[in-house]
Amino acid sequence: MNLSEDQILALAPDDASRKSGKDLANPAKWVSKGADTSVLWGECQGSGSKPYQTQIDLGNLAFKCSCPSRKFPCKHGLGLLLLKARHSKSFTDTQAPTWVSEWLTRRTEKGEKKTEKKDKPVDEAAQAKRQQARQQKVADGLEELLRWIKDIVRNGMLNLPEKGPAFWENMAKRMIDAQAPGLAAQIKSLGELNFYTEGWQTRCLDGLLKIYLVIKGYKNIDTLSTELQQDIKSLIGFPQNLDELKAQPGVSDQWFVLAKQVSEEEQLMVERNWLYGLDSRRYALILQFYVRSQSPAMSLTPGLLTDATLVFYHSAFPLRALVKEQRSTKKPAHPPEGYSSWTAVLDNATAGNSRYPFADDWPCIVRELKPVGFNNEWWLQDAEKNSMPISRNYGAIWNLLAFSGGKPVQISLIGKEKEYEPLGVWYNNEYKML
Amino acid sequence: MQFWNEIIHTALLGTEKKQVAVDTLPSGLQEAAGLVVAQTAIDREEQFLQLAAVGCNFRQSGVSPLQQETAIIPEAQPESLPYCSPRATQVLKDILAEDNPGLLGYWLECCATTQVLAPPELVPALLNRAVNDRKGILQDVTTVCGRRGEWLSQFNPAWASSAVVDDVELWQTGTPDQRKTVLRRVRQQDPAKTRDWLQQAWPQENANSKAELLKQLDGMVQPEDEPWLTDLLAEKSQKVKEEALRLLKQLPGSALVQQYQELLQSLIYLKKEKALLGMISKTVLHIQLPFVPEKGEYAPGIEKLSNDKVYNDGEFILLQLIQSVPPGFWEQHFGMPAEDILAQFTGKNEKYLPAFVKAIVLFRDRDWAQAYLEYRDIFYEELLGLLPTKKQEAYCLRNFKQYAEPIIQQLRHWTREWSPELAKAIIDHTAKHPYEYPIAFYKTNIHRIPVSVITILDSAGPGGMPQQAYWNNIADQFSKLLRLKEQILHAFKE
Repeated sequence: MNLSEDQILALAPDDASRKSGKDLANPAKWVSKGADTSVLWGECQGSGSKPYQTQIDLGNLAFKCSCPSRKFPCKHGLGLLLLKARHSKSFTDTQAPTWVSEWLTRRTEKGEKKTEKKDKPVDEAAQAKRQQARQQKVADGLEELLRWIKDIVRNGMLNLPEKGPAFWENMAKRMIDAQAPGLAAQIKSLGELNFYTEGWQTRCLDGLLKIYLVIKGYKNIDTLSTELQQDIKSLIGFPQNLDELKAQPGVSDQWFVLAKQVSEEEQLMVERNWLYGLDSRRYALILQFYVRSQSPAMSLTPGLLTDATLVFYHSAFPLRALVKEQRSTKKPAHPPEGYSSWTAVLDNATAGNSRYPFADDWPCIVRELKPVGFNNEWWLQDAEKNSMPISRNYGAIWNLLAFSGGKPVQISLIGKEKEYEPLGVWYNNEYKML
Repeated sequence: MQFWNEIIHTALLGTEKKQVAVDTLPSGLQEAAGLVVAQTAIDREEQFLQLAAVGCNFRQSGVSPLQQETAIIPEAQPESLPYCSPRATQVLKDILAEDNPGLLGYWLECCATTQVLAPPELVPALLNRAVNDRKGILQDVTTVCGRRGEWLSQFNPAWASSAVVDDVELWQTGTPDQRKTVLRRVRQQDPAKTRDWLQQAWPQENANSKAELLKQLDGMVQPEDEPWLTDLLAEKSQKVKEEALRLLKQLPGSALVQQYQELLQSLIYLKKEKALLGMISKTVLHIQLPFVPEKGEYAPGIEKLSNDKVYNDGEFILLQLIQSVPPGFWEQHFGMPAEDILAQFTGKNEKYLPAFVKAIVLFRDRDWAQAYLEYRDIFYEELLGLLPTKKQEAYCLRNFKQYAEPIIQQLRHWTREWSPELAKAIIDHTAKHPYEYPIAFYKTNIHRIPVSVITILDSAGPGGMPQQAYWNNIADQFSKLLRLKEQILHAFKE
């Protein structure tokens, strides 16, 4: 697999690693190096007496290095990949040394063990008791939350901007106590709204209505479809059983990685990977959570195709998925299919809303969109001259325009209703992140 | 969206004060709203929440795009040059991440010389750099950004200056700095045009602006400027008069310089005298000190009172006259080549020689510069730029040990790369003085430093601690810069 330098640098955990990785992309720094079709290895002379042994499994982009760094991938891993990208011909050694082949063998064995490890005996009676206790706690919590929302509605939202963070945080804490962490997170995000920007009223009311629908949905859960029941539970914070999910066949496809968005939430790194299946034509969201400076379980690189099997979480509008098996990664030969017009995008959104009224932003690929200026705003115009506005805070408008040059381009976007943000653009058959 | 505004209005005021008027809801919502309102078992807050939830879904599902035929954007013209290689693109990304103006300038220069363009994805970053940079990369950025850059600039007011603007428009409506830049640039190609510009705009300019504009003509005065510059000697502003006089002094054929020459002819001359009891005759230099008038000036642009203890007032006037005439004048006046002329100024007259250096620099006389340095092997940094390239290098190397600092100061203005030998001498020196030459020095001059010096970095340095540790740190960063420069070279050779 040949990654571009941009794709390699996108793997870096921070700017310092990116910079140091570039410095190590220098043949003089490597005592030995080699590569075969599936693995890349090298020995980098560091400050110690023994060189650091760096190895990269190219199939799944897994890194291992003997250096003491807790960053992942470390600068040596990035440096080695960059060196390969820049001086591929200098990797003449194709015979993997023992330390590399042993690591690969261990990885394969580990993968096999993982699949074998299941069916631990479960105390079903205790589990049912715990479930019942939790359901009671949640039901009590939802009653309290409903009263709180009604109070807001009765007194009006006008004075919400004056309420301090404690107003929201206290209720979020109450929901944590009620074992409804999903609702706690939604309340917290409402408290983080900027009450001094245009449109806060709609954003705030939408958030309150979403919580209200979850409360009412939970109260009437038996009347809902199985998928919607799962959605309600997920939104409250009941986890779906991962073992059960993984036992499902899933969707095997070539998944195009559209974007990776990383944010920090409560001292935890949250990685949102947006994928699109070439054959299934389905979008997927792979969420990964990890502690800063530690590695996420898997590496997904925007612009690359991952041959993988995904299992979608049960939902009336399945988007979130987990990777059941990741086989290989490669460069796409051509851009994926996308929607032909805004009408098609919005029809699909409407169909989604009818099944699932809780949707947050969702991704889409649209062919032949052209950025145009209108009413002091930038819009994306399709071939039928229909336009939708680009989010006002969008920071990469000039890059998008530079790629477009006034001509239509295929774009991947994220958003909903009347706010979309371009994620990437296909330029000369190559996917460029914006 | 009238109905949604009604819902928001109610939400803001609170259900205690206001209820949603169901009849204001759109017909598509009426049935659902009727069902909600019919529920008597729920309170008005829940009624509102249910109405709003249905309304919210209705709003989200009813989004339609804007059909706007008039929202158009012109297409960028196709480029006439190819884009640079992916390798060169990646190096540019690294340079932009490093924030190194020296290397950026070098990349732009290589790109322009190779006649390729920067890829569209980096055009916004380059335009941003160009508007924030005061060292004049705008022209190169405009070149390498090609038509895509020109097209893009029209949409961003911050980049307007990088768009191709007509010179006349820039002269008439630009900022003071832009006007000076365009005046200097156009002056080099079309002096008559800039003279017209200046003459037309002159009545509207204030004294400061006039003086600043005249400064831009430095070294580019034409004989045709003389009448206008002479008129300017009658300007009210002393600043403007001084600038006009300074420019007139740069014109070898101007009446002013002619006047100086005539004065010198009568004050300094050669006379044949007998020697050795009349056996031989030899040419002797005669210098007659001018009469210093008590009132009025001796000649326009000539100070009559000495400001240097070494020279009395008469000598000081002579000194000024010598430095204000082209050196070629002496060849005609004495009828001998430069070396012989300089040889006449010996003994007590040697004090006039520095005035010849000033005249050589003022009139940029390259032959005299060489002749002078052959006659006197003394380091004159001002003459360096008038020597042929190879001689400049040799001259610097010959004098480097004694005059390292002034030579480095001069070399910082070179546009070309230093030779490996010269660069080695410089790095040997600067490495020994790491506090005077921090990494900023290497960053600024990286385009002048050949990559080959990377081999001497490990052995260079002041030797003792803690300076050596400081140098090692600089050397580490410096070698990264050199490697980047090496990558630029390779990238544009591909």
